Amino acid sequence: MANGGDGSLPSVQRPENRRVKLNVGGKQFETTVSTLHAGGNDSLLAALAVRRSGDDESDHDEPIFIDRDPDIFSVLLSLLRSGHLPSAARRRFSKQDLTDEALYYGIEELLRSALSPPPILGIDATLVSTLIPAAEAHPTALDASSNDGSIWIAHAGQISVYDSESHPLRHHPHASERDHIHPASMAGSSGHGLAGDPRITLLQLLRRTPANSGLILAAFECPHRENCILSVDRSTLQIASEIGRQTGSGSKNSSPQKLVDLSEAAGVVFASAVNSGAFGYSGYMKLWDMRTGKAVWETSEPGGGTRSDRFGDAFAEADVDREAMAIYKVCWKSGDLAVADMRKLSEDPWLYLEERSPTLRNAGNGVNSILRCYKGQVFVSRETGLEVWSHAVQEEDDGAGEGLRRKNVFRRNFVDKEDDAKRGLIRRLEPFPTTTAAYLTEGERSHSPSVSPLTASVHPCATDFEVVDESLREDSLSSWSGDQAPASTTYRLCGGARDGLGCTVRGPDKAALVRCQGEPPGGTPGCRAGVMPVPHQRLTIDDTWMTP
Amino acid sequence: MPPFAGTATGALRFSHKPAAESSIITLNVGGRIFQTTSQTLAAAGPSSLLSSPPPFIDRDPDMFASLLAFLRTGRLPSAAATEDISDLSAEAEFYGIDPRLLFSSSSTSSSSLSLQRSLLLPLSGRDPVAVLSASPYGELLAAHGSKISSFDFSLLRRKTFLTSLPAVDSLLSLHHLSLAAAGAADFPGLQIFDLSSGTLRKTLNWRAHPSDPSATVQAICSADDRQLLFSSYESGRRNSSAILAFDLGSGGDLVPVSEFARHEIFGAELDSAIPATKLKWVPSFNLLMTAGSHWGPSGVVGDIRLWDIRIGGESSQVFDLKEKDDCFADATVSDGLSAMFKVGASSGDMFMADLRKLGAGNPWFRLGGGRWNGENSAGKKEGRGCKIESRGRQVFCSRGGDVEVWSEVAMAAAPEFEEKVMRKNLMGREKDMGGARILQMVFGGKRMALARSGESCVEIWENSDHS
Repeated sequence: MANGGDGSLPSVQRPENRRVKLNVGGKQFETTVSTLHAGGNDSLLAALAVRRSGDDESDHDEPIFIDRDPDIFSVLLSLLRSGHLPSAARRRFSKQDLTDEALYYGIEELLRSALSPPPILGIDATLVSTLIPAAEAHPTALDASSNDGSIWIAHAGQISVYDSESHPLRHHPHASERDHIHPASMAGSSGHGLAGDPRITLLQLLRRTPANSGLILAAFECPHRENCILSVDRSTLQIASEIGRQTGSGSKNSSPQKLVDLSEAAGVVFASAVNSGAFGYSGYMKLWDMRTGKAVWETSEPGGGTRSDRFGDAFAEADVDREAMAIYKVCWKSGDLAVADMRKLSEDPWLYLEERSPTLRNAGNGVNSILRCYKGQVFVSRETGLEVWSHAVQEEDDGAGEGLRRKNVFRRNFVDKEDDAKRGLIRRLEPFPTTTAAYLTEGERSHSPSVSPLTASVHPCATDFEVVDESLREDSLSSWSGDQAPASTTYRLCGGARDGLGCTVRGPDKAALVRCQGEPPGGTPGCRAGVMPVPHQRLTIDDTWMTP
Repeated sequence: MPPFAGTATGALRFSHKPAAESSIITLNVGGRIFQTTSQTLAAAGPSSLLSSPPPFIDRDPDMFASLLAFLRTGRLPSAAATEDISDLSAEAEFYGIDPRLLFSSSSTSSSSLSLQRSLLLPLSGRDPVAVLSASPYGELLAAHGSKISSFDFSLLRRKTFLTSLPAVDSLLSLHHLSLAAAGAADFPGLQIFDLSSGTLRKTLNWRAHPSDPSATVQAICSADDRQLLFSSYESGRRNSSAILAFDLGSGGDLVPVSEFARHEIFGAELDSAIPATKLKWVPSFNLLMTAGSHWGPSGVVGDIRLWDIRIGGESSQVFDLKEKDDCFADATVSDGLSAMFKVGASSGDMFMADLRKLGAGNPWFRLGGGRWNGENSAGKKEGRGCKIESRGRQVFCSRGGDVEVWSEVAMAAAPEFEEKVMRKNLMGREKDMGGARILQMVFGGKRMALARSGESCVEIWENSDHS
C-alpha cells in the first residue's frame, strides 16, 4: 500500500491526468480528471472534478463522497474510461437503472451513444424480432427517423413506440383528444385557399443543417384531387410555403406519394407518385425547387424519355440516395433496378444495373416493390423477398499494361431468408438515419401483420417511451428528437391521416402539443394550436419524461 | 502456440530468489492496489502496457484482477466466467495483451481431438455456405455467395463484407496479418481483403501470356513460417496453369516471388494441364503438396506433387505421383504423422504413404481392415465427394454427412516393422450424425468447423472434455 498512491504523484502531472478519489456509497474509486470529463464538461462528475481542483493540496486524500449505488457507478465509470459499456453490465442492470443513474451524474448522452447500435449493413442483417402491437394489430404506418433508434408504429388510430431493442410495447388508447374540425381549406402562406377539405396524404420531415430551421413537409390533397406540398416550419408550426400545386386530373399530376428532402444538397424536394391500373404502372417523378415552388425536372412513365426497348416498363417505386445524389427506380415489368445521376439529369438519365449472378437473374418483377436507399445501399423488396444492392470494389486488369483499374460494382444479395419472405408482402420499409435497423410492415397475405426489425448482430437500446394518438388511422408518420439542446431530448411526432384532417404534433407526455389543421374560410392562414398554445419554448420538454 | 511454454514464470521467480524482492511491483488500478512481480507482468509481452507499468492505471480493477490471474497462471480463473468474453478481450487489448491468448487452449496440434457438435453459426442472407477458412487461434472465415463473413475467435462477433466475385470458391484466412484471400473458379484474380475494414486491398493476377485474359484461382494456401502465400491459377481458356508464390512479409505488398508448376496443353496431352485444386504446406519437410484431378469419361486421373520451393523454378519438383487406378478423391499431408493420405475415388478406401520413404513404386498403403475390393472397384465411385483433412496426429475424412477420424494407436512397435497403426472412429454422437453432405472441414484453435451443402450456417464442433 505504501507506494501505491501518495508516493507516486509527481508534480509534473498535467491537470487532466490528476487523480481523483471517489467514495460512492461507501466503496472507494480512483480515477482521473480527464475520465470524469469524458461525459461532457457540464456533467455532475466534471463539476466535481473542477471543484476539487480549486481546493488546496491537503484536501486531495479526502475522497469525494457521493451517496449513490456503487455497483452501477462502477459500470458507468467503465463507460467513462473506455467509451463503451461492459456487456456484462447489460445483464446485471436494466436499461432504466442505467439511464436513471446516468441522468443523475449527467452523462446520459454518453450512455445513449454507447447504447446506440451501428448502422445497418444489408449484407449482414438478420431478422431479430417481430413486433405485433397488442391491439388493432394492423400497422398502417411506421417511422424510424429519430436518432435514438426508436420505432413508431401507427395502428388503427393508436401509435405505439418501441425502443430500438424492440422492448415493451405499451399503448394507451384514448380518443378524447380528437378535435372536431369542420371541413375547411388549408391556406398557404400566399393566402390562396384550396377549396374543399384538404387531407394529408404524406408527411415528410425535413432536416436542415441549422438545426432549428427544420421543416415539416406534407402533401395535401382535396377530395377533388387538387393537391400541393406544404412546408411547415417546425418550431413555429406556421406554414412556410406552398410548393407545387397540381390539379390532380391525371396520373402525371396526382398527389405525391413519396417526398424526399434534398434541400440541403440541392434546394429541391423530390416527389413521386405511382398509380397501378389494368395496363400496368404509370407515374411521375418531379424535383420541386423549394424557393420558387416550380418543378425543375420531371419525368413521367410510360412515355416521356423512356427508351423504346423499355417502353411499358414504368417504374414501380423510386427513391433518392441523398449522399450520392442519385435517383433509383425499380421497373414493374422487368424488375430491373435503374439509377440516374442527379447532377446530370436529362430526358433519359437511366442506367440499368446489370445482374451477373444467374441464380438471381429472374428474381421477380417490380410489382408491389418497395425501394429505399440507405447509406449507399439500395433495399428493394419484391414479392420474392427483400434484397439489397451494395457496392463492392473490383480491380480490373485490362491487359494493356496500364495496371489495375478500380471500379465500383453493385452486387445484389438477399437480406431475408426464404422463410422470412413467406411471411407476407412488405408494405413499408424504414431504415434508420443513424442506427441499426430497417423495419418493415407486412400485410394482407400474412395473417399477423407485423413490424419486423432487421438488424446487424448487435442492437442495444434507447429509451422507453410511448405515445398514443387519436383514433384516426394514421397514414403517415414522422418523428424527430430534440435538436436544439441535445441533452434535454425532446421528442415529437407528427402524424397525418388520409381520412382525417390536419396533422398532429405530439410531445413525449403523450398530449397533442399542437394541431396543424385547416381554418375556416377567411381565417388566418397557418396553424392553430390544438391542445395547447405553442410558443416555441413550450415544445422543449424537460427530462421528466424519462421516468414516466 | 502455447503462450507460456518453457518460460514457466514460477520457476524463474524462485530460481532468482535474492532478486525477487526488488522485482515486486505495486500497481494501483482504479483505486485498488495490486502487487505482483515484473516476471509475471513480462508474460504480457514486450509491447504491453504492463511491461513498464505506470503507477496508476485508470481502469476497472475487477477486470484487471482476472487478467493478472491469467498472467500468473496462464489460464483464466473460473470466476472470470462471470465476465463477458468480449469485455475481457477488450480489456486485454487495452493492456496490450493479445486477447486470443486468453481463450486459445494450451493444447497443441499434437493433442488429439474428441469433438462434438456444439453450435451453429448462422450466416446472413440466402446464399449457402461455400467455403471456410480458420486461423490457428480459431478465427473463422465463411464465404457465402459473394459475401465473406468473418468471426472473431470467440465466435461472438460477426462482420460481413462484400466481394466483387460472383461466388467465392477458395478462401484463406490470414488473420495474423488481418487479411483474407479469396478467389473464384469463374472470375479472374486473387483478391486480398483487409479484414478490419472489409475493403479490397489488392488483386493478384496471373496470365500465361500477356495477351491472355487473366487467370482464375483454383486453390490458395499459406506457409506462415516462411511468409509465403501460394495460389494455383488456371488460365481463362483452361489450357495453362501455374502456381505462384507471393511474399506475405515486407509490409504486405504481396509481390510475386516465384512461379512454378507451370503447365500448358499441347495437343491431346490432357493430364499435363490439370491445375492443382489442393495446396498444402508441410512445414517440417519444407514441402508444398499440390494435388489436382480430372473426372473424365474414362475415370479419374490426377497427380500429386511435392515441391521444395527453396530450389525455385521447375526443378523444385521433388516428387510426382501420377494417379490412374483408384485415383484420389481428396488427398492431404499430415505433418505430425509425416505421411500423405488419400481417399480412393473408386474404392472409397483410405490410403497412407510415408513421406520419408517415397520411392519409385506405389507408395500407398491401404488403411483399415475388411475385404480388399480394389480389384473390382474399377468404375465405381465410392469415394466421390469425400474430403480429407489432417490435424495434428489425426486424419479426418468426410463421407456424405458423416466424419470419420483416423487416429494413430500407440503400439509397442517391433523395431523391424515400423508401420504405423491407424484406427478409424466415427465422429459425434448418434444424434449428431448424418445431415447434408459435408463440403469442407477446417480446424482452428480447439474447434472444427464444417460447411454442409446447401446450408446457410456453419457447424462448429468443439472438444467435449472442455467445459
